[in-house]
Amino acid sequence: MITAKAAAKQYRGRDNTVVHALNPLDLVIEPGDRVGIIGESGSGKSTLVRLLLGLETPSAGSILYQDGEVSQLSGDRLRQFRRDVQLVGQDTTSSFDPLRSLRDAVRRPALEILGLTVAEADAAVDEVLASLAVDPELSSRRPSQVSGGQRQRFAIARALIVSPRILICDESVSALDVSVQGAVLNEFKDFAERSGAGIVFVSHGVPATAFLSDRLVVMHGGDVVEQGDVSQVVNRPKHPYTARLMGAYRKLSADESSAA
Amino acid sequence: MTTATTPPTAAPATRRRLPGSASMVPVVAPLVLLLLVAALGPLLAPYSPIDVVAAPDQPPSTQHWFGTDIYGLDVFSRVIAATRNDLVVGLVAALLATVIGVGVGLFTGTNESRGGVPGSVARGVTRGLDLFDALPQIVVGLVLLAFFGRNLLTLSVVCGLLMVPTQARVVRTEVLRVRREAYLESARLSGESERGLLLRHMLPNSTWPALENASYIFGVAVTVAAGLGFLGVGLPPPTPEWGAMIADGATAASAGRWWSSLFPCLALAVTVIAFSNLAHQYLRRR
Amino acid sequence: MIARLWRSQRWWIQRVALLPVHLFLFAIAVFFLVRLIPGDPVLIIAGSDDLTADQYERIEVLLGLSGSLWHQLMVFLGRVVTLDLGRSLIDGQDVQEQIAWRLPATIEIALIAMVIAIAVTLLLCIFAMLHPHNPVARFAAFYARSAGAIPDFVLGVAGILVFYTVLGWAAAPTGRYDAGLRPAPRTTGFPFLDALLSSDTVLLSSMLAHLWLPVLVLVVGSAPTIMKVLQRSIEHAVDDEATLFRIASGVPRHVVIVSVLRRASPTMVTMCGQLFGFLLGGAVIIEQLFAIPGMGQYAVQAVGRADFLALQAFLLTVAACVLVVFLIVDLVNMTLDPRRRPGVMVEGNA
Repeated sequence: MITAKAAAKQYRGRDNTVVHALNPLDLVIEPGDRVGIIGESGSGKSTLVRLLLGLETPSAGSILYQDGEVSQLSGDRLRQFRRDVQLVGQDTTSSFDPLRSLRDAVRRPALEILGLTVAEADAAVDEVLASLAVDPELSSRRPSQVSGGQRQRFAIARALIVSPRILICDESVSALDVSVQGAVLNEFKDFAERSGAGIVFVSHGVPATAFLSDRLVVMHGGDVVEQGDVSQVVNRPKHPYTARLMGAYRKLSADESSAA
Repeated sequence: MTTATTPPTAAPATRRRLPGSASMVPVVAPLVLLLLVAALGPLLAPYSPIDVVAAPDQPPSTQHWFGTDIYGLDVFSRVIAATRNDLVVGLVAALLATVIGVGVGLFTGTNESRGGVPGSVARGVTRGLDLFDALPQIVVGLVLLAFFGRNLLTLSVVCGLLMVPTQARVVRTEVLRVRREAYLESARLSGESERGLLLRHMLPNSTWPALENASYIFGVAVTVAAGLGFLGVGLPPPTPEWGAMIADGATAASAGRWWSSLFPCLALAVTVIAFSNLAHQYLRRR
Repeated sequence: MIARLWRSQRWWIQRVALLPVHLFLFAIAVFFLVRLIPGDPVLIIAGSDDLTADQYERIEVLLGLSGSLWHQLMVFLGRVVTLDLGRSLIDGQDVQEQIAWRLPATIEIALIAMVIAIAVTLLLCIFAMLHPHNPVARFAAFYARSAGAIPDFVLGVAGILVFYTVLGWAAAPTGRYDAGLRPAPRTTGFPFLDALLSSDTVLLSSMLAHLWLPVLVLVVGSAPTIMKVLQRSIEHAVDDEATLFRIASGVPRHVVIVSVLRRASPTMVTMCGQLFGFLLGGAVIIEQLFAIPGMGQYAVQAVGRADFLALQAFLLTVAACVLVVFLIVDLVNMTLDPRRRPGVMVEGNA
């Protein structure tokens, strides 16, 4: 459904230096896939997400959605793309307009992408909020008037209201309290199992990513250093960077199981 | 800690609570007083503000609270009558500067980093406004008034135009800030059109500071209008206007007859300070 | 060789070359502004409706209002380039001669006030930085916050009342020196500088007695605006990690002060440019109040006589001064901070 073909991104920094944010990369994501992308900040994973969503144009190579370049889509095809691919972002505080209600934000995709009337859209909002066990009363509030965990649920609702076939989660749980993280991860897993959608889970944390993914992509310094099945990457890493990353994780889970 | 008890995070910069009522009294009271004087003007003035009513240069007395000026006009009546003229200039100027400034600021802020014609036009406009703003306001105001006629309307419009760069700059800075906000990207992913982004998110979020700035602009516009009046190029005499009154009284003041200049000075100072206090009160909360 | 020289020197050549472009664009703006004047300028200038066709045409040509708009524009630009700003139809005097005589006087007052305002601001801000809890520092902060609250002319009237009428410290606000004195021979065109050069002590002391109050008024009126900016940029510089590191590592105090000032310097230079425009406007008003013959007085007279040629020239001259100051500010800033040079930074140099 989304195919990255040798997609790369460079930025022109100060003093005309060129920053290679992402080196040429190939990736295929289909509905039903569960892809985890792991890397530190600066590894290029956020750039990859922005390219996949068509928010930026690749400097080289291409990102294709049904044979169309994602950043060039417009009109009905763009609407179709937005309907198929949605994002739950990282920053819960700034991903909502501070002057508008949460309901307005969740309703917007239903109006603009699905073309529903306001009444239909409101019904859809109530439905998606109920499926996420969010008190519908909260939706009349401003983003600053609910907790971070609640806000992230609204962000999920905003993405799920169009029933996307691929959901991209960019550091979606990193800013949340540990107690809330688990609940949100389960929402993602439930959604994927219920609807058969694909999930691209982007994070710097190995445990959450391993929990949600079948396939892992490890990024470092703008390069993909390793990709493959979760069990293979976790247990038999090939690249020294992955080995270091996974070593810590394996030790941690071993400690946990011995403690339990 | 469960989700339900997690306290809401601190309100972001764009959300402000209304200032407490107690702290607002010293800010609002002078404003209300000024607006009342402006509205009721003629009813409060004991004499005609434009006719000779007594001997010239009389010190303040029970008949003439603020004395009389070099022509024998009643200073108190003139100070009262001038309030309306000066406030109208400030109000129209603030309104005009805000409307035009918001439009220009939105345009330059959103188009500046683009290529092609809109980008170059936006960069040119920004640079042009910077240059225009570098010219002394009093000089530009003087020339424009001389060219386009000296009446209340042109004076207000000219003062408003002089303030456009300030407002446009405030809005432009805000637009550049808002452009980087994640909620614009979220809105784009929600399928909103570029026009929707501009009207629904950019406009409201970037104009708030300009509205607050409007009260500061009001004060500056009144000062500029009074400055032009002081130079004798503002409203034609005998129209009561504080700046012109201060100028008329200046010679008398240097001869020791302080009253015909002092009272319009005080009225002007109270107005400017009252409005800049209003701006300060809001700006401090950002 | 030449290419390398061009690459290394391009920044200032480009910036200097921009000045005539700015002036040119401004002249065109003024040209169209004058064409927007409602009513017939010829009749306004003539002051009556009954002109013979011959008289009408003569005035039209003198004002540069004859022929097609394109022809008018070319005539106008030609006159601007050759600095032929015309002869006033009202008093018959050469406009550029008047301006050449009056402009230095106005610039002189503005520059003297600017130097003093900057010195006072620097001293107060450094003092406030070193002794933040001293009453003087608090006063400086309060004074900076009051920026623009009291207009120049109110300060001027108050100053005359206090220092001339009540205390008698200042000379009467009746011009540049006492009546009966002869001006110094014109060597530089700047009246005070000429008096200094002529070493005529009577004239010089009289000029000082007349000058200090207007300058004081300008300084008191303009210092808060720059003080506010400087205080903020010093606060930033003090909070900067590099500064905290210097303080923590026990570097002598004067080194810290110098480094803080160096960090705040681009803001200060920019601010000096704005200050000059501000003071030029202030000088126009102060000249009127103290009866000093300068640009302000000339413009006010021109308004009274509807002398459009003089006003047009006045606006162009002031704009040219401001543009030149802008150029100097940009060049100094580019020298201090090479990142501000064109072609180096694409974004965010606003």
